[in-house]
Amino acid sequence: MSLVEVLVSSVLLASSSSAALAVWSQAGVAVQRSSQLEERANQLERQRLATHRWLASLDDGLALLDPAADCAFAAGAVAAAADQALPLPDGAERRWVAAAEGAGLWLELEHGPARRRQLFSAAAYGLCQP
Amino acid sequence: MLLPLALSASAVLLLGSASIHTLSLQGHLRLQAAERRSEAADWLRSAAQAFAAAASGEEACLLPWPMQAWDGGVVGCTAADPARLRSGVLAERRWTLRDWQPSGDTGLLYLQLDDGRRAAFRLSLNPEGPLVLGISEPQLQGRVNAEVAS
Repeated sequence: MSLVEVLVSSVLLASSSSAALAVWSQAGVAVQRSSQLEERANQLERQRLATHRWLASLDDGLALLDPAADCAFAAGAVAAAADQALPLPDGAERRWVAAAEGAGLWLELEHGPARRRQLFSAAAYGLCQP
Repeated sequence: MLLPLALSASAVLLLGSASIHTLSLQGHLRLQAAERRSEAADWLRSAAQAFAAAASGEEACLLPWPMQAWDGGVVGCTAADPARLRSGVLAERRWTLRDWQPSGDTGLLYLQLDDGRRAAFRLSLNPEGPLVLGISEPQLQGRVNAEVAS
């Protein structure tokens, strides 16, 4: 075993170990980020589904309608009632935005990079008598 | 003796790193695909809600009839405009009604988005009057290509 062989082997092992460590560390961060994003996406999906079930089971859904409109949710009333009935996980945000087409309210859910957006209309929950 | 051992150890370390990197990349791609599926489902759910909104008021009287019967004119429903139920625009995305088949207190709704994505929904209807009471979760039906979609 010559000194040159020992030196070359040491350099080879040191550089490959260092490269492997960097890749493992990078992969670890990526996996952590992915699982955090997945958990947040799952929380928003549960929130979206809970909103749908809440609207479907309202005893007094008519109280959420805009008295000035022809059967449309009032964004303020829905937002206030949803805040009471559907608590959000820490760090998540919820907005109710009137659709430009007048078809209902957009529910916008956000939790870090995870986002969801769905339209909800009063007519889909039996609140618009013909 | 030492050099071949070092070479083998380095190869194992680098191959292991490549595998870990591939696994984390696969996880990332899987998450992106799940995000795209959720987004598409949200658009389709929104389109179903928009259909329900359009099917209230003057057009509600069309609900007890299948889509194919609308063009011939539905008795007692002359003020209704079937075109309002056949398509609509939501935040600059167009949705199109592919089919509507009511049966008693339920109806099957088939919708398509402008990117070709399609879904079916089961609507609960009030048997005593033309009124939507609820919309099921979508059954995603894949995507037709853009040419067919247009």
